Amino acid sequence: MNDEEILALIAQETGLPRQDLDMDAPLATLDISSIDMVSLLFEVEDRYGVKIEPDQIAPEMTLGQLVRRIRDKTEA
Amino acid sequence: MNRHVVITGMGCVSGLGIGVDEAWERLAARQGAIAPIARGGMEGCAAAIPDAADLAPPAHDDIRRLGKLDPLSLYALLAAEEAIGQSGISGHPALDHRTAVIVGCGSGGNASFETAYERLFGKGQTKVHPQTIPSSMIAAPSAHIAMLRGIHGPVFTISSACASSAHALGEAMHMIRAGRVDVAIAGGAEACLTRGSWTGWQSLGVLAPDTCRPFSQGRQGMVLGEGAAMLVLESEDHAKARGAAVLGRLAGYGASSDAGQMTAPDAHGMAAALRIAHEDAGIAEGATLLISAHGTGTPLNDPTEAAALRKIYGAGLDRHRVIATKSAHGHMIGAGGAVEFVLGMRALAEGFAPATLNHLGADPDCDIPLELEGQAFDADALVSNSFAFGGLNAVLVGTRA
Repeated sequence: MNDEEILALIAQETGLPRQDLDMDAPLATLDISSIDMVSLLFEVEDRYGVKIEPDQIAPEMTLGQLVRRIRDKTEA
Repeated sequence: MNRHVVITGMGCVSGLGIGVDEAWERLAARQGAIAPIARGGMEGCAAAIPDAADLAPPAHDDIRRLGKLDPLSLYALLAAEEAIGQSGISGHPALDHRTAVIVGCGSGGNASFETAYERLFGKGQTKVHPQTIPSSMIAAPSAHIAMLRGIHGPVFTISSACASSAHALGEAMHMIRAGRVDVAIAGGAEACLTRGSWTGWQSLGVLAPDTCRPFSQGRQGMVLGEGAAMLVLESEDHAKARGAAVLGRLAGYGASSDAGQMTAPDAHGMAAALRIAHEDAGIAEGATLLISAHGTGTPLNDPTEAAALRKIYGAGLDRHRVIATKSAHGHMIGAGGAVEFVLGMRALAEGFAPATLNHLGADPDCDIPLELEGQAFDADALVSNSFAFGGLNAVLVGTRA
């Protein structure tokens, strides 16, 4: 799962336009609701069979860190 | 204080297109939307659905931000945005606390339910998407409109099967008259062409294999349609104070229940709703009416509705004109009453009675002045009928601006 696929999934589940997904932005500033984050993690698990718990995602993480977390998990 | 209820915006999404103008142009040109569809498990069945290419992905970034939307909510949002845009009420302080949102829906987000059920019961999976409940709930379209527009007043869904949106408009009218709100964004939405829902309708034996032929010889049943229609209603004083253009008036509403059988119509119940709506609107004795029939095209509904109309108008029915637009956009269930009211109000304003399509010849059991050609007709008022399963009846009366 490459970064572009992960970002497309994030755009799909949050409704944020792809061009607004700044890899350096902290998650807290992106206005992603808790239900959208749970939905994203559900889709990651459903498609790639890897489970990431919502409490492993801290609001001070950047989007880039979230993308890397998902990528590392799916490649492990 | 003048609390008569006026219409300042209308929006419509249906198989006839996106927007009231497109729907009206196709209706006036006798271009029906019923055709075989290609959705999974329903391939080749006759239906009228909005063109997916016009809907997805929603261009409106704010709509995308509302999260995973069932088509039910998407239809309602697109129709509401059209109506709000036309009304010019965007940014008005009344939207904050003095506005209601009331959407009529016959069922909830069927696609969301069925996707989840297919995972559980079809594929043997144990988890479903976390948005399954929020996106499928029948109140979702009402909540989504309020969220998009920051509306903090009374917001809820009304469900009364095929009369849902007529009840929604009528109850919204009463809320404005009573002074509970100054503005209401009201109408209905339905997204019923999913495999499970369609199979349920099919099992009832009420669906026509080819098309919808209201009041015609050889009619074989109804044809399902999807979409929404929403209106912006206001007290007349409120609309005047902000200089809004008035499209027409919601002048009367009658509701009744047959308390009879679940699926068999009853002319007495229909006539009761018609009588109450006429009294409420104060329609003058000599008025000429454009009557938008419920006209489903089922063997049972149409002669029962014809009998109810005769009961109310007697021989005087013949100077009025009956239209049956389900022949063009299908039976849109919870959305039907609002879609037909919007198209009827447009017909009233244009002075044109659109043709009832797919007619094969008069049925002597349906002795009504049915418009078959599509021609100029000047009426004083619109009477729009919705007679639902459960014996739930609602009739709306609209008049010119």
